[in-house]
Amino acid sequence: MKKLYSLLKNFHQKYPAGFWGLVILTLLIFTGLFAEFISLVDPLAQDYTLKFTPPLWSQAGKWPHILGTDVLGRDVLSRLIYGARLSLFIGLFAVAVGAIFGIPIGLISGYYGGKIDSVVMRLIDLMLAFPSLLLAICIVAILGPSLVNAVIAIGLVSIPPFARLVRARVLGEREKDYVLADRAMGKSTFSIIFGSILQNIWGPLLVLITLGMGGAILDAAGLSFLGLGAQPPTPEWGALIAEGKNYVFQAYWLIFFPGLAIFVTVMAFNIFGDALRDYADPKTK
Amino acid sequence: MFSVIVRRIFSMIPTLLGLSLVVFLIVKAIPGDPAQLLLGDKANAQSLKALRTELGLDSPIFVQYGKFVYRTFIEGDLGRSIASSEPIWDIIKVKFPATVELAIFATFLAILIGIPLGILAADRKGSWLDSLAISTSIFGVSIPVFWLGLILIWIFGLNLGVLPMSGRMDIIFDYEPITGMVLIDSLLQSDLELWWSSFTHIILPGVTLSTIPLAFIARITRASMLEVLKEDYVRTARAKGLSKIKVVMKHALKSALPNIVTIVGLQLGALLAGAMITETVYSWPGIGTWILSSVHARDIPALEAGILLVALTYMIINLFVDIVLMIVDPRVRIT
Repeated sequence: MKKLYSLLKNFHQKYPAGFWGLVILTLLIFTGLFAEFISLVDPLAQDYTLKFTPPLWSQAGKWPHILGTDVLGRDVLSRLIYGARLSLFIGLFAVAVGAIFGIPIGLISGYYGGKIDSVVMRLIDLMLAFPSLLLAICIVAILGPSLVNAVIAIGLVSIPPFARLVRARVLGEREKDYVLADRAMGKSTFSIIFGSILQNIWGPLLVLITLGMGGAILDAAGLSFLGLGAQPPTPEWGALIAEGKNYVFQAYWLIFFPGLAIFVTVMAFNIFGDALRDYADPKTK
Repeated sequence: MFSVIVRRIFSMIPTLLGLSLVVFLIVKAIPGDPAQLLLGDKANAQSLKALRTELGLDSPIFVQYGKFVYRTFIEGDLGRSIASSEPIWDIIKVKFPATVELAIFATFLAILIGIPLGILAADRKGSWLDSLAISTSIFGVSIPVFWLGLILIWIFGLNLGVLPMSGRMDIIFDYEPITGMVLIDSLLQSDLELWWSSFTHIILPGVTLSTIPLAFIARITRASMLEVLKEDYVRTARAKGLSKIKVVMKHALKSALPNIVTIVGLQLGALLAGAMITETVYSWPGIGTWILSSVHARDIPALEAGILLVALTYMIINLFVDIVLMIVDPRVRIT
């Protein structure tokens, strides 16, 4: 506990922005985990008599609808709180898909080199020949629009960055002494690649995972906004904006707060990820 | 250098074939029967079968792919849209210039702000300008583009009422396209009112679209300038008593330029495709909104052409970047 405290203190001194990113992310995780206890109102409960109640600080505001209500009288704040849980799920799941496929591809391609490597890299380059959003839209068009499919699409599109980063790192590692020692000791190739080498390149991977989660949340919100991701009444933040955009004339709070939530969350991932990168490799600062 | 460029162009052919294969497979994988879509729900089995034969849908898949490549690249025939039954070429001729116009406008904005900001930030590391550059680059990659777009519409279109909220120009104008880019055509036709109308219409989507490239350009410019400013020859130039502007603009910027050119090119390519969200927010009649509506309508031929067009544009911009790199960076020419 003491060690964690001094580590955080050190991190705060060196990277104040990154530290605040971490604080926001911790709050977000907390909100997502305990959404039932934090939200005052059921996020799906409708009440037509409360339609378009403005936020509490304006004159017509009504407790407990702190951030107002939408066209069906649903509470905006509760929907945002449940949306936090969804966003965490989106970030984790999308990055997991990218990492589960991308890391082994990069490890194997980088370690063996030769024909395997050139075939794999050709395929990766082909994927990179498409703008990632377009590719994600194509995948959603094949699978059908839903939040899960949007997340799968974003995950698949994030395979190339993982594969490329891991491959580049493995190329630098595979001739190092510890790998030679492992080989001399007769360790299996599998345990060299997925044990020793993976352990030694974990730092930069962690950075990519952090930044990737922010990116995934942003992309998923974009797909939901285009009607290709989460469908109503799912309180995903992008979907909330898509629902609210038709009422921008009468109820700004329907788009303002969900967008702010996305913005702050993605920014927290980005500044924490940047700080993590500098922490792991101070040269890049 | 010329032979390198020629070789680079020829090396695109396998990529192009790979690309067309991916597009073909994606479109094949999208559920829905093109014959059914063309004839509607009430078509009888006989006419469906006849149309499938006519479209070549019952031949083996590699034959279909071969026909697709021949039809698209040799004959230049893209077919007709199912949704509007217009020839797809005619649709592209109208939509593509709209997207190009918007993407170029946004890129110009991003360059105009991003490069000076990055240079100043690197030159005065730790100053408020540096903080501004760093926050700009973090804001730009974190902000949801569609949200920014809606907020700008809400502020400038709705509350202040100073800028139009959607479309490319006011509907009173009778616009005859030459290049398809209204900003240029109106000047060619010396119609200043039309120019002003289209200019005010492009400001909000242009600003919205420019945030991401602005962030990247500022960031890369700052980082590569910081690297270069540390070099010995920059110190030498300073020691020789050259003015600061000359050292930064001539000596340092020249070495940092390849990185900047690369990122500008990548971003322009991404914009031509990533304009989808911005185009949707502002009802901009470009390729992005067209691809999206084709996805929703399962308009297979339109989708095929749209995806291929975007990927091709992306590829050609990359080629162009490589050529520009050879011009600004002599080290690249050898490889």
